[in-house]
Amino acid sequence: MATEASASGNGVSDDVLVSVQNLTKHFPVRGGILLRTIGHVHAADEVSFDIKRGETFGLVGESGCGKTTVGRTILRIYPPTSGEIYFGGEDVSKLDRKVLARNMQIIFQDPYGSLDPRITVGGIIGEGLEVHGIGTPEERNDQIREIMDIVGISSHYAQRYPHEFSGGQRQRIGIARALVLRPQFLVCDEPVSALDVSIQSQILNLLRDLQGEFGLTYLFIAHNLAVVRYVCDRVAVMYLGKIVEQADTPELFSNAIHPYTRALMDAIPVPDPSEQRERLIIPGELPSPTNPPQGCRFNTRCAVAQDVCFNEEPPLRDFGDGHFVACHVAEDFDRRGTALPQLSGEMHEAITDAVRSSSTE
Amino acid sequence: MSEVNGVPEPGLQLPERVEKGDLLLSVQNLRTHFRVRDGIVRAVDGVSYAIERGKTLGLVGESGCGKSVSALSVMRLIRAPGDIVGGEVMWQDRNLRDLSDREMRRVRGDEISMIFQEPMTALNPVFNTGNQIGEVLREHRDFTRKQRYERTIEVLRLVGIPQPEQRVKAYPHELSGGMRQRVMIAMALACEPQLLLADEPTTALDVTIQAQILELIREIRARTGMALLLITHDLGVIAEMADDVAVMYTGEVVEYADVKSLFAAPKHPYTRGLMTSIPSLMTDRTERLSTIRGSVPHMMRLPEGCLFQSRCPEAMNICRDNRPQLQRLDDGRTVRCHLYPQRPSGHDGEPLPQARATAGAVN
Repeated sequence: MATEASASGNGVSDDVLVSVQNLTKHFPVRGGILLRTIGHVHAADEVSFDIKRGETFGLVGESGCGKTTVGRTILRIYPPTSGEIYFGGEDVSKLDRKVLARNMQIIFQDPYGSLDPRITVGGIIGEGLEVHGIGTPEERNDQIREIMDIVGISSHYAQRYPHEFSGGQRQRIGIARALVLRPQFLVCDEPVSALDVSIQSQILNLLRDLQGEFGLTYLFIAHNLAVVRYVCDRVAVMYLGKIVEQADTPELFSNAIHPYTRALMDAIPVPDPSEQRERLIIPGELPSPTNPPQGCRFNTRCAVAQDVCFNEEPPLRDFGDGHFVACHVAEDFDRRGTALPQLSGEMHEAITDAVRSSSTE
Repeated sequence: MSEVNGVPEPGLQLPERVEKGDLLLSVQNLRTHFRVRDGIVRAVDGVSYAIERGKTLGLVGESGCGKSVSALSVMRLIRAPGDIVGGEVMWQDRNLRDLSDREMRRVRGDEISMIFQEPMTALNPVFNTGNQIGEVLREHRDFTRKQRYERTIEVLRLVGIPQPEQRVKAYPHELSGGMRQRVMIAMALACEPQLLLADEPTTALDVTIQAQILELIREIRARTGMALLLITHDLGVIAEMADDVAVMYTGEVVEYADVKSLFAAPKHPYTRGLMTSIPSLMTDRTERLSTIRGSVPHMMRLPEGCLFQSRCPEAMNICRDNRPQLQRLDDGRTVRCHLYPQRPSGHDGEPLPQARATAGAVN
């Protein structure tokens, strides 16, 4: 049976590039005339995972689940409230910011908001080289041109401004900017969700090519499970600041255990009109992260919640083969080696009833 | 409805089955252009589609393809520099383009309603929920204050808002995204419209909330027999909701078919590209994604010939100079592509003299 464990060991082994240990990030909420702190947004609570060298680790969840906060805290864009982050075995809080920036970079979601409209594309891409004092101006120009060609933007356009490019091209510029310092680790924060559908696949292919070419390690943050499934080697699902499930991609998508993960997968519309299915719709909405529910944070929307779920926070437990689940009743949903291909009829009815009563109430 | 301004009968642009259906709305050769400083943007250029009573038509396409503008044109909500310059919008037996502003206001919100992508900007921030729904009822129904309140509570309950007696006093900023979308749907449904135009109704929402809203729309559709024009770029949503689908690209319909035929065998290279390039839960993880090369052409620098030629994997010589026309295939669906030789009989394949005749004459 499952044993209690953390998804991240304490000893950091060689094949781990980034190790996140018990990362917690709370943002103060200020109010009143004196702007006193009146509460905290629990954006991330005790989040732990390891990212192996050369892999793509996915962080998935809905808006407000804390996935972006985790990504940005790893890069020390935000200081963590508590917890440690190790990069190549070294505590990042003790590393120089410049060293960090050369090794870890980020691609942002919005290719419109993330590029300074007053600077030429060449200037945007080369800024990092200049800040780090790398090479002579000529050498820097060569590097800018080289990386532009690699990401598929003609280097003739180095003197143009961001507004002259389409969304997909801007995202390529953002990728060039992130790669020009040749980092080992890239946080991709929703890199395709702002792009037109015909452009998304171009960028996903590019990210895959670059990973092969430069041996990059990715933290891939996204809400689209189909994209995550295609891109990632391992995936952690977050809900309200907590990791609720983590597994290798094939395992997660064939044997999702946590009721939230299962609902998330069920909610994706399937582009096949001949498939008529009973979908499992979870009722209600994300509770406020300033005051997360006691016990399991999913208990307000979970159809199978028991008494224990309202009192005790479920720990992330090891189900073997790198599959971790934070759910008190997870055993009921573990389908490996059992003949339980779907939710039982009763369970399904209970859930459907719960949805109905919540939507007509 | 024979020839209008030299344009062939619009019915020929519709799939056979749709043409023969009990049509509630029929958009015929609609052309909505925007006059901007550098020329004319032909946002919608000769678009025809029709919706049968109680059915759902999906309009698919990427940003800028004209899908939203076509719906706004139906509602006559196009403002300068835009203008509806051609075509007809037949609503039952009336042409909405011929109505006075006053008559149009009576149709809007009563017989036809519309919901938008971003509920925060579509709702008025200084009015509470009750006022906004009440306004629709004040406009269209001779209700007493009490009747208005009761109907407001009733529709809020219909769209699954808990404690409607309390929420009726809430302002938009006090509601979550999903709740705001429900309020907007409640406003749209207050007068039990026969047709709902839904422009990306779930795009701004999280997937679990999207699933709730789609389920809600499905339920209301089944209960009231309302027809639906569903605009989205998400083929998954289309597959789950639509009866027929029109695929749009740069202001034109490029393929129009019933949902099952379309997904079973997409004919237009653009439709095929869309379907294969989007990763789904079935995509082979070890293979590269197929892509549609390049990007959508600039609306003021559209090529001669086929508008998709620069991105088409199957472009031929004819595509460079000759703009393909919509034509009906043997199975009744329509497609705009030179890959499908035009049928010799009838005038299905005849060019539309007006469509794009002035394409080169910008300015």
